[in-house]
Amino acid sequence: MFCCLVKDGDVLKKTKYIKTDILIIGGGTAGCMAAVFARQKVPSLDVVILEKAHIKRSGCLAKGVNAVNAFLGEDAPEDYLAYVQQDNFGVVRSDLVLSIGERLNRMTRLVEEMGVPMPKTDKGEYVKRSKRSVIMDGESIKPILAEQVTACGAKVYNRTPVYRLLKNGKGRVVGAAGFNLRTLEPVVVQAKAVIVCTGGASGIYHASNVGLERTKTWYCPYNAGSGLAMGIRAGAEMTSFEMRFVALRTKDIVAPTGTIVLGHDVRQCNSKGEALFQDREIELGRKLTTSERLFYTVREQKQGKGACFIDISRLNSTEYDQLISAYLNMSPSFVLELLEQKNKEQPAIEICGSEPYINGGHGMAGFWIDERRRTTLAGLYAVGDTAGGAPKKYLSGCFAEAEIAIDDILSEWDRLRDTAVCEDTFAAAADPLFAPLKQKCGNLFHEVEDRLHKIMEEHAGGSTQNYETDQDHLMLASDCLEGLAKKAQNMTAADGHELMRVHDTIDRVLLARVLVAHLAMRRETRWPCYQTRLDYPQRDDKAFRVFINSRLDNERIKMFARALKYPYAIVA
Amino acid sequence: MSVYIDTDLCTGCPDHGESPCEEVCPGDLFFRKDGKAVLREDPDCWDCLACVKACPHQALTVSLPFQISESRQRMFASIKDNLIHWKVVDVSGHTVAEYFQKNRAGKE
Repeated sequence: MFCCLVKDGDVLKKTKYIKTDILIIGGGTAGCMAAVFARQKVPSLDVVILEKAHIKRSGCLAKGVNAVNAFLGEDAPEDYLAYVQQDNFGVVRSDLVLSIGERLNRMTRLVEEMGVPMPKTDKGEYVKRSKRSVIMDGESIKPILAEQVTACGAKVYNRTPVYRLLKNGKGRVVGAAGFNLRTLEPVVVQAKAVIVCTGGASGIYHASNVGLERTKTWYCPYNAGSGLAMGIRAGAEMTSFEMRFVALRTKDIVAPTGTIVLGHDVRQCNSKGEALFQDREIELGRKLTTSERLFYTVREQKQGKGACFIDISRLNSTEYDQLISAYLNMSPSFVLELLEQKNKEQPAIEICGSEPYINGGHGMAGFWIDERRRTTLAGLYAVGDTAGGAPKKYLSGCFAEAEIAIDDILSEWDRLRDTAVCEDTFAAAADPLFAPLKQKCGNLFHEVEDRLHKIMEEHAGGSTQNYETDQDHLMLASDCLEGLAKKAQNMTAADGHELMRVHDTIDRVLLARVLVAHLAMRRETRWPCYQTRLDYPQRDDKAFRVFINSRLDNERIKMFARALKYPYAIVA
Repeated sequence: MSVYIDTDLCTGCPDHGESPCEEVCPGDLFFRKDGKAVLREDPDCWDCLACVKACPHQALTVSLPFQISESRQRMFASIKDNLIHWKVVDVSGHTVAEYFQKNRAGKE
C-alpha cells in the first residue's frame, strides 16, 4: 500500500490503491455475472467490481426486464446463428454468435435458479412469448444479481466510475484508474486480468423527447460507453460502430413494443389503418428484419400516411391486465399511459424509432474480440454490450459471454498468476481525472452535450433526419466534432457528480468521432435506419460484406476492413 | 417533473449513511439537504423507479411529465415479502389501479 496525493481545492486526498486477481469494470448484468462465475469456479480468486452507480440498480436492467429474449428451447445454436445472420444481412461474427448460442438455454435456467420468477406451462416449460423469447417476472433481477455478487464474496466499489486503462511496459492492460465520486478519492486498481463490462452508449444523439424530458430514453441514459472510450484511448480495435442500434419503440415513453406485439392479437398500422408489414413480407417472400420493421414505419411517415400505431382495441380485459403486468416489470411508467388508453374507444399506442445508440447487445458495435472474448489489447477482455460482432445476445447472451471470458482467464491462470505488479508506475494514474475540479471557468458538460447532440442529429443521421446521412454531412460532422473534442478538454466540474458527467461527456464525444468515421467508411446502405447512406442507397455485397473496424493511432482514427470469415484478414 | 418527493413523508433517513434513494439511483441524482431528499436535476431522471421502490416511507412517486400526459396520475411502489405492490392515484388522491406482483421466487 502506498499513497499518492492529489489536490482537490485545498484538500489532499490519498489514492486508494487496490491489488486484485480479476478486475471487472462495470457491475451491470455482464459484470455481476462475471464476478459470480469467477468466484464460484475458483473461490480463492480475488475479484473486484468497480461500478459507477450502485450494483443494486445499475445499467440496462435497473428498471427490470420481462423476458429472456434469447432462449433456444429445442432449437440448435446453428438455428440461432441462421436467424441472427438473416436479421443482420449476413454481416455478423458466426463464431461469437455460435458460442453464445451453445450456452443460452443453460443461462436462462441460471436466471431462474437465482430466484427470478419464471412462469411455467402445465407441462413445466417456460411460457413462450415468441419463438426465442420466454416470459419472466424480472422486476428485481438487478437486486437479485447484486445479492449473488455479495454472496459470492467479490469486492464491490460502488460510485466509482473508471476512465483510464493502465498498461505495463509490454503494452499489457494491468489495471484501471477512476475515482470515488462521493469522497473524491482517486482509485487505482491493478489486476492480472481486466474485463470491461460498461455497456454501450446512449446520449450520443439527442433523445426523442426534448427539454425537461430529455432523458426519457430507451437505453439506459447513464451508459456513457466509457469502457469503449477507454479502450479506444488505449489503442484497442473497435468494430461496426456504424451499425447503430435504433429501437422501434412506443412514442413518448420510450418503452419496448415487443411486449405488446409478440403473442397478442394486435396490428401495427398507419393512421389509415393499413397494416405496416404484411404486404412487404409477401412482396419479399420472407420475414422483415428488425431494422426493416423500423425502416417501413419511418417510410409510412415520410410518405404522408400519418403516424404509426399498434392497434390494441382487440385485447380483452385479461390480456390488457397481462400487458400492464409485463410493463410493470420492465418499463413501469408506461403503465400510466396504458391506463389512459384503456378508457378510450379505440385504444392505440403510437410508435416511432428511438435515437441511435452504440450497442453490442442488440446491435454489434463494440470491441473487436476473439472467440475467447479477448480484445486486441493483451490482458483485456470485453463482454456484454461492450463486446462487438454478435448482435441479439441480450441478457442470457451477456451471461454466456461473462462465463466464456472467465473460463478463458482460468485456463490461463498458471501463466497469469505471475503477472508483474509495478505500483510505482501507476501511483498518479488517476490524478489527471481531477483537472475539471480545478478548472474555474471552463465549458459546462450540459453545453458540450447539447453541442454534441446538435452536430450528430443534423449531420450524422439522427431521428429527426430519418436516420439518413451522406458523405458531405459526415465530413461536416467530423470537422465539428474535432473542434468540440478540443473544447471538451476544458470543462469544469463543481463536485464528484459533475466530475463523472464531465468525463462521460468527453467519452461520448470520442465515441461520436469514431462513429462518424465508421459511417463514412461504409459506402453502402446495409441495415436500413441503423445505417442509411443517401449517397449510396443500395446494399453492396461485393465491396461491403466485411467488418468495418477502427483503431486510434497517434490521435488519428485509422479505418480498415476485415473479411467476414476466420481469420478475418484485413481487406486491402 | 416526473419524480415527486413528498416532503411531509420524507424523513431524510437520518440513520442512514446514504439514504436508500441516494444509494440506488443509477444516475446519482439524489442528495439530502436540510433533512430531506432532493433530486439533483429532474430532466436527468430516467423514470426507472428504483428510488420509488426503495423509499421506506413511500415519500416518492412518479408521474408522467406534462409534456407527454396531462392527467397527472401518480405511481407508488413498495416491495415486501417477494411481492411488489403498485398503486396509481389520480390528482385528487383516488386510487385508479392497484397491482400485486411476485418479484422473487419463494414464499409471499
